[in-house]
Amino acid sequence: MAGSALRRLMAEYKQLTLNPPEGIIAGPINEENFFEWEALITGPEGTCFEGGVFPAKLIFPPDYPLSPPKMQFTCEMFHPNIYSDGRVCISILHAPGDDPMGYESSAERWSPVQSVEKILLSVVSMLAGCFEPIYYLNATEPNDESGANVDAAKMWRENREEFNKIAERLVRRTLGLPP
Amino acid sequence: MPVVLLDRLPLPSLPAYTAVSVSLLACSLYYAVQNAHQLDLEHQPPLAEGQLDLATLCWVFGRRCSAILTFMIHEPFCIWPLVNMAYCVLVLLGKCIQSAVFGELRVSESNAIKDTFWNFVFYKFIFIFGVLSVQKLEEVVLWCSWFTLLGFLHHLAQLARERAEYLSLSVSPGRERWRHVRLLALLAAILLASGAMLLVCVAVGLLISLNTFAFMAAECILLTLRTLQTMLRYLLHLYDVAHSSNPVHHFFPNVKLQAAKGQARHKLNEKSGEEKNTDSSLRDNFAPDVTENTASSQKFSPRWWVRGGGASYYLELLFELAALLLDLLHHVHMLLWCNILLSMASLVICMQLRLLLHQLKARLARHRHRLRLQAYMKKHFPSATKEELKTLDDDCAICWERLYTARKLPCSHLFHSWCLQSWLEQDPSCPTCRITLSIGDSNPSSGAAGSTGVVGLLGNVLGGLVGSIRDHDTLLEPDQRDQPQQINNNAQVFHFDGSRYVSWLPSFSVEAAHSQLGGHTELNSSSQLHNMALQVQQMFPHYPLWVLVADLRLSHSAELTVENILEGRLLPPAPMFNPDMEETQPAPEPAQEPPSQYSGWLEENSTDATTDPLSPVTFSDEASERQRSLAKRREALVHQARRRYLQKSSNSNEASASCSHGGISSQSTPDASSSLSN
Repeated sequence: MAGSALRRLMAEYKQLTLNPPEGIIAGPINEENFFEWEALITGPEGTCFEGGVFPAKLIFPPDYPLSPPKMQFTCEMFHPNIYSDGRVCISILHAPGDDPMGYESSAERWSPVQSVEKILLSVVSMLAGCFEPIYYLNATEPNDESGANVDAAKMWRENREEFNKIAERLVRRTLGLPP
Repeated sequence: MPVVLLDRLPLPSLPAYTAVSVSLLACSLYYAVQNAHQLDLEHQPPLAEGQLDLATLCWVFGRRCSAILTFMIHEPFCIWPLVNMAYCVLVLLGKCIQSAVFGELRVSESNAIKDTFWNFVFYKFIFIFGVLSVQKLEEVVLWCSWFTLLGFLHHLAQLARERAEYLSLSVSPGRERWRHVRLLALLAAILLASGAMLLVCVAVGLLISLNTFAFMAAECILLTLRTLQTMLRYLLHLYDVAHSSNPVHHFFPNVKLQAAKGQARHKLNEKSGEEKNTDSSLRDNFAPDVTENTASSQKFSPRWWVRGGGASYYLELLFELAALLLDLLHHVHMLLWCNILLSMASLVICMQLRLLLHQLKARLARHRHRLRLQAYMKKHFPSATKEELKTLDDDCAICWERLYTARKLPCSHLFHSWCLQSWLEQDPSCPTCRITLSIGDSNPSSGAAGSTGVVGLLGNVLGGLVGSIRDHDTLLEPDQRDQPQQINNNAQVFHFDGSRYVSWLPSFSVEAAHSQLGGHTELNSSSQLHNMALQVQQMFPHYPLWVLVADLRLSHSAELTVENILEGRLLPPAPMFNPDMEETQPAPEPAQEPPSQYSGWLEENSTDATTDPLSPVTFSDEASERQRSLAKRREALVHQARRRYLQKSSNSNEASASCSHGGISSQSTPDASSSLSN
C-alpha cells in the first residue's frame, strides 16, 4: 500500500525538516518519487571523519515502514561497515527475516518503529567508530563475505594512522577541497 | 534471451518505417488502380457524357474502390504492403496514446514492455503453430490479427499499470489531476475495447466452435480482469490519498505547534517512568494540538476499509485468484488440445502450468496465514479502551497516525489493528520492544529446525504470563514482564574497550545471541538506548548522541550516565586539540592550544548557529517550495562544514607553525582562502 507509506514518509520528512538532528539533512531527491531520498551526514566530531559531509541515497520499499529502506553512500567511503560500492551494512537496516551473517539478534533489526532519523543517527555513531563488532570479529577469519569491507576493518585494527589518513582524504574530497 | 539478440538489431526509426510503409502502400495502390482500371474497362462500357450526376459518380467511385480492394487482397504483391500498413497504423496509434497519456517512458517501463512483448510473441507463436497447428493461410492471418489487437491492448494495459504504480509514489494527487484523469480514461478505453473483443468471441463461438471461443475468451477475460484490477486499485489509492486532500494538512493540522511537538515526540513515544513529570507538562503544552488532531481523526475514521483491510484486500485477493484460476484453466485446455503430448509446445505449457500452480498455492497459503493471524489477534490482543487511548494520547508507532482505535499487545504497546497485522504477517514480535509473540507456533516459517521445542515452551510460558497479567490487572511494568524472555542459551558477549586505545573512543559491550528468542535483553534494544540517550541529551545538549549511547551501553541507566556527566567522568568529545586528550595520548604534533583560541572557535560556532539566515525553517505545502528549501539547507550545510574545516585546519596549522617557526601557515592560508572563495 503505497498510500500509507507515502503518508509516513511525508510525516518523517516534515519532522526532519522542522526539527533536524545536528548535522543531518534528508529529503526526497525529487518529489515526483517520494521513495528515493538523499541524506547528508556530517562526520561526528572528534573522530577521523570529523567535518566531512557525506551524501547518501536512501531507497524505500513500497511497504515502507514494514520493510527497511536501503542506504548507499554516493561518495567514496572507507569503513568496515560500508561496502566498496557505498552500501551500508548495519543491523538496523536488516529485515528481521534475513540475517546474512547469522550473528545479529532480532532485537537490533529493523522494525516499523524505526525511522529515517534513527537510521541516520545510527550511521553517525557507526562512523564514530562504534561499528558492529560482528565484522570486527569476522575480519580475523579469511572469509571474504563476512564483513562489508574487510580491508577497512583490518586497517582500523592494525594501522589506525593509515586509516585516519584515508578518512582525512575522504573528508576533504566531500568538502570539495584539494587533497 | 531473444530480447538481448534483438536489442542489437538495428531497428529502423519510426519515421523511416512510416515513410517506407506509406510509399510501399502508394506503389501497390498505383499498381492496383492501374490493373483494376484495365479490368474495369474491359467489363464496362464508358458512361455517356450527359448522364453525370452525383449519385452515379458516387456509385462508380464506390464500385471502383471495391474493385481495387478485392484486387489488392487477391494479389499477393499487394496484400503485404496492406498488412504492413495496418501494423504501421497500429504502431503510430500506440505512439500517439503513449505521448498523450504517458509522455516520456521511463527506462524501467520501456524495458518491461520490451520483455513482455517478446514473451507475448513467443507464447502466441507456440499457441498458433504448436497448439492449434493451424494449416491454412487464412486462419493464420485471422489468428495473427486477433493476437495483434489483443497484444496491443495487453501492452497498453501493462504500461498503464506500471504508470499507475509509479504515480502512486508521488504525493500530489490534486496538482496534476489531468495525469490521473488521462490514465483512468485510457484504462476505461482498454476496458471497453476488451469488452468489444469479448463480443467478437461470443459471435465466433456461436458461429464456429466452442473450443475456439474458449481460447479466445480466456485471454479477453484475463485482460479485462487485469485492467479492472489496476483501475480499482488506482481509484482506491487516489481516494485514500485525496481523502486527506493534502497529507501534510491532515497529519499536522497545526504547523507551528508541530515543530514543538516533534521535539517531544521521542519523549512521548515509549516514555519511561522516571520522566513522568516533564512528560505531563509537555502534554499540557500540546493539548490544543492534540484535541484538534483527535477531532480530525474521528472525521476520517471510516477510511479504515480502504486501508488495513477489509474491502481493498479482498478485492485484490478476488482478482488475483480469478486471474490465476482462469489462466490455469486456459493452460490445461491448451494442454488437452495438443494432440501430441510429447512436444515442445506441451513442455512449455507444462512449465507454465507448474508456475501458475505454485503461485496459486502461495497466494492461498498467504491468505490462510492472514486469516489465522486475524483470528489470533481478535482472541488474544484485546482492543484498547477509550481511557487507555486517552491516557496514552499518542500516534501509532508504525504509521505515525493518530491512534483512535488500537489493539493492545501483551507488552501493553498499542498499535492500529491493521498496522499490527501487516507487521505480524512478516514477523511475530512487538515492533517496539521486540518481545516475541507466541503466534510463532502457528506460523510454519518461524518454526525453524531445532528451536521448535523452545518456541513452544516459551509460547506456553508467555501464554501463561499473559493470562496472569490479565488477572492481576495491569500494574506490572513492561520491563518486568519481559524478563522470562531473557533466557539466553548461546549468546556471545563482545566487549570493546575503546578508551584503552584512545580516550575519545567509546567503550561498549554487545551481546549477540543466535537464538531468535534469547536475543532480547532490556538494553540491547537499540531503540530503548536511543531513547534514553535522547532524554539525557535534552539535559546536556552539547554531548553528541553517540557518546551518550556508548556510555549508556555501559551504565545501563540514564541516571548513572547523568551522574557520570555531572561528576566529569564523561566529557564531551571535543575537538582534536582537547588538552585532556593530550595527557593520555602523545599526539604526533604537540600543539599547545591556547585556551583563548579554543573558546574563540566555540564562540564563532555559536554565533554561526544563531545568525544562520535559515534557522526559522518552515515546511511548506508546495512541493517546489519544499525542494528549494531543502536544496538551500543542503548548500548551507556543506558551506558551513567547509568553512569550519578550513578554519580548524588553519588554526592547527598556525599552532604548529608557531611551534616550528616555519612558513607552513603562510603557504596554507592563501590556499584555504582561495578554495573558500570558490
